[in-house]
Amino acid sequence: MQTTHVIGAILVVLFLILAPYILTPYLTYLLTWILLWCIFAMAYNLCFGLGGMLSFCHGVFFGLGGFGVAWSISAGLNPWFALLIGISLATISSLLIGFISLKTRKTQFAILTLIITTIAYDVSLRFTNITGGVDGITFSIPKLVLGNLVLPLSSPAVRWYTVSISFLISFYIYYRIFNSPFGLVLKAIKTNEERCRFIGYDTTRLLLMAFVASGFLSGICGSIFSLIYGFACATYFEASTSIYGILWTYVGGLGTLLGPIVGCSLLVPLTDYLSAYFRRYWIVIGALLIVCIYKFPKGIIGYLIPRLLTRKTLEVIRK
Amino acid sequence: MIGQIVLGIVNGLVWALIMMLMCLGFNLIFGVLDIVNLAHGEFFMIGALIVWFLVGRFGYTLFLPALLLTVILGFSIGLLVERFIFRPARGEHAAQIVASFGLSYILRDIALVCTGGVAGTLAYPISGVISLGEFSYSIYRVIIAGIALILLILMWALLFRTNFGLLVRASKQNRELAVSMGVPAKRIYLLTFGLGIALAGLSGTLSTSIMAVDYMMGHEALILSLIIVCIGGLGSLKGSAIASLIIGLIEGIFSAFLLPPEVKILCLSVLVVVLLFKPRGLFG
Repeated sequence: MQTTHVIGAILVVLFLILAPYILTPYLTYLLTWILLWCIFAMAYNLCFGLGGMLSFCHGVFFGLGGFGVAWSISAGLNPWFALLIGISLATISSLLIGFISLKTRKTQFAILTLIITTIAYDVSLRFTNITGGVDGITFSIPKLVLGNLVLPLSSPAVRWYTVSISFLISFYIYYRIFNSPFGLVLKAIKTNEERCRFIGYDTTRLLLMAFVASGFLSGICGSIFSLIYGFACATYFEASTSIYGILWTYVGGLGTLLGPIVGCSLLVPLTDYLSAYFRRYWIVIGALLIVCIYKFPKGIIGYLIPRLLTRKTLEVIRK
Repeated sequence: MIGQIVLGIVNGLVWALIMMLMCLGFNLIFGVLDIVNLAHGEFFMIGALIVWFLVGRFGYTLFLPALLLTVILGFSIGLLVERFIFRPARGEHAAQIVASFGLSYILRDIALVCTGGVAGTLAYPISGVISLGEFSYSIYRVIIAGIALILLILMWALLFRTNFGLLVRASKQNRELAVSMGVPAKRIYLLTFGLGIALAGLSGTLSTSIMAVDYMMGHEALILSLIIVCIGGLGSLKGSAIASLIIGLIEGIFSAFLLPPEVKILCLSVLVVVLLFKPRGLFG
């Protein structure tokens, strides 16, 4: 790691620790919300940006993570155990869906995941006694017990720290995968899968590993979401959850390390404002998707970095 | 029991004919232009909305004009969409999928604003039934199936018996070779895209005899047609025809005994079994 990375990491951690004392309650609430979705954006980037798998079923992993927590809390289990169940439910489902979907590639993969997620949504709406249908399941927000500490998850500060810690853990996993040989191979597979297979990589297994890692991170996001807000809902099964993931990664910069985080932190507040004032805000999101893909295919990070670099080099030359 | 199954089979056949039109459109666009159009379902919905609006307001004398209007409108929207949504992303399926999904959200929400989100059904213009022994079936649905069949035969004739069809098939088989042999590729592409969209619209207009009209019907139809297309093989016209018969019959027969989501799971499991053994579909 370079020194700039270390300094950056220390600054971020300091900010995460101090934020509830500095920021107004509303900002803390908003930032919690954004940080939570950042985990999902990172998970999506792992799948789409790194592995090139355009998946529409990340909403299923998110939703199942949430339902796992909701069901186990309703059954009276310990929140830690509930988290474990939620995350493993999401991971297992991603393994299953990935195994089936990775029989195919690219276009057919996207179509297949779209079919699966739509049917999962239909099924979850039908079995309302388990899933609560459109209304979802609400439960009283539990208290986390850590040794002698009892932390009520309904308090904003505890929520903030829970989300920050899970964000840091997820970011660490994501960072390690991104900079590992595994990540490099994934990039290679995205560029040309046939050649990778020719070299001797078992591409299906590697892609499945990336898909499951992505499902695992989405599961973390979903179960933490459900745990701190006391709510799980079938509408997250819809393809539109994955559409958000696509939008964030595209806007931030597809396949870049920080792209999804940038895209997510810009667009989550934007869509929140938009949805408050304009009920048919999906028109705007749809238009944004089309514009982003054609006008900014590299995203903010991919667009800015070369420009900043050239300006710097120009300055160096002038001096 | 047997009556129910026979009814299911006949219903399934009618539904299969309608879905065949839709999948034919999807596969034409995919096969000839190499475009994945996930907004296809929304054009299905627009076709249904046109019929619902015209027929619901002015009666069934306008059913055939509504079909004509759908074709014209679908064709012209298709040309616009090809020009502005898909042409910038030629050859990049991921971008096409995302862009067309964005387009489908836009169209769906506009439809929601226009209709106010009410699900509408149309009363049948002909209430008579055809009776064969103890089995009876609505004449109107038979007529609809007949229209779908005529349209399919027309499409077959267009694709396999005319010069235009020859050019389309040539550019489907090998694009570069076709272009180098002097096939006017751009015109063929535009016309084929318009034709595909018009087919989706037509199948939507015909579906008003079976489905309720609302803004989400396009998504439902899209998912069903995607299942069919995946089973038959992407881009294969013969495959999608056979697969739509299979899926139509499964839907028809089993919806008498199972809930709609369970029927969908059944369709999905058929798809999964097919993909496990033939990842490219039956005829891909």
